[in-house]
Amino acid sequence: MDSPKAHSDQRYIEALLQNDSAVIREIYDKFSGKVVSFIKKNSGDENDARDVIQETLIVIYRQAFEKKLVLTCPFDAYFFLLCKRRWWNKLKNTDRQEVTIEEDIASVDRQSEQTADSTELYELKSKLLADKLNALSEKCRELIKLSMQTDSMKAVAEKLGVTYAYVRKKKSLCMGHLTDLVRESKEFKNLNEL
Amino acid sequence: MSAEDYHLIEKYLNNDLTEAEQKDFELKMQDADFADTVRVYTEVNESLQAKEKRKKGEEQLKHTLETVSEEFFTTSTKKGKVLPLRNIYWAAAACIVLALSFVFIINWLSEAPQYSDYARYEPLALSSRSDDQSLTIAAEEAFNNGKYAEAATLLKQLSEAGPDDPRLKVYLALSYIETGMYPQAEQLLTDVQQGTSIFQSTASWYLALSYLKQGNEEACKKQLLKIQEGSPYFEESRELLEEL
Repeated sequence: MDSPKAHSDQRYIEALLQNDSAVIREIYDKFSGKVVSFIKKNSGDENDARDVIQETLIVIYRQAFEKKLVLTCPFDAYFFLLCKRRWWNKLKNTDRQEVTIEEDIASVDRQSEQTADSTELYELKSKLLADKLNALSEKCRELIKLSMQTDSMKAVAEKLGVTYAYVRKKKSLCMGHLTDLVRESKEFKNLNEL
Repeated sequence: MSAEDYHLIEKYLNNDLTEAEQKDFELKMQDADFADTVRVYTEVNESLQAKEKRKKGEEQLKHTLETVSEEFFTTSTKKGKVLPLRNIYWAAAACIVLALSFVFIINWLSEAPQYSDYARYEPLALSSRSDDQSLTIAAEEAFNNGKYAEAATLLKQLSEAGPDDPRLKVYLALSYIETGMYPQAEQLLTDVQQGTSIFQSTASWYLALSYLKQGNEEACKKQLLKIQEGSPYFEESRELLEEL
């Protein structure tokens, strides 16, 4: 796959991956003021803004870790869009009704919107997976967890004191069940259409 | 999908297929439903694996976000708070303080720029690749509480124990500057400045400030000029240059 050329703001993504507090501080200094005033204008307060910003940065981190997120647009627009949408969703899910948020679509470029979409899609998929994982039996959950923590299935077998063939078979049944749950869910079908 | 199918997929992911199974697998892949199951199975597997792998890093990032946002939001709410004055005496006292601070400000304005006017440290949050967790925590605490001599000792131990880490070097250098051990600090900062890490610009900036603290204005100016546009310290560096 051709990797697109990264925007120079990729350094903010790297900072999240490297836990670089100096650059993270810069993210707050440069980009958070806008988010805070947006949320304050739309029935929220500073604490709401603080949560929204933190949650958004964690999701970006996760996507970057798992999917090698490459930023091809400025961080500013992308980050603001994500925070805005997250706040919007929060408002929808609480009783704070009758909120109208004016969307200034004109100011958002296509590239930022697409990147924000990909992050949102990633988060929805992760949520779906976590949900379905919880629907499995406890035994299955434990086995899956152990196999993810351990480098090889051989090591898992050793840990559990059973044979490699047995543990691999067991894991495949649990994972198969989980795969089915994910594939058959309404949410997954919706996500695939996005 | 049958249990056998899942078993086949799991073996495939573990590179455990026999030749006959490999053929069987390839044949089955022509079926769209099977292929889609393989795709989702693989994605679920990768996603769960990534979740485990990033667990520690995510904890540390959350810790940093807490610290940074705590700082960011308290400084932004502090602005504009008004203290109630209970009576006339308080008001009078305030007037005196105001007058005194006026004198102080005038004195201060005419003075040369100071290291402390420009040095602002981010709280130290180490990603502990080190085996010795307690040492890492102790070093963070010492530095963040301004106990620089202690921090220097601990950070030195950490940097000797671990691989080359520019973050450690910079913070060790800052601790040295604070305790007046300039040659050691400058050696470390020069080192980082010549590297390619994200701490490069920080190192250049504090190298300049180290000279400032020693009253070596010429060296400071020279070093400040090395800070290029695009560095987060560019504006401050030009401001300081002007003052000098």
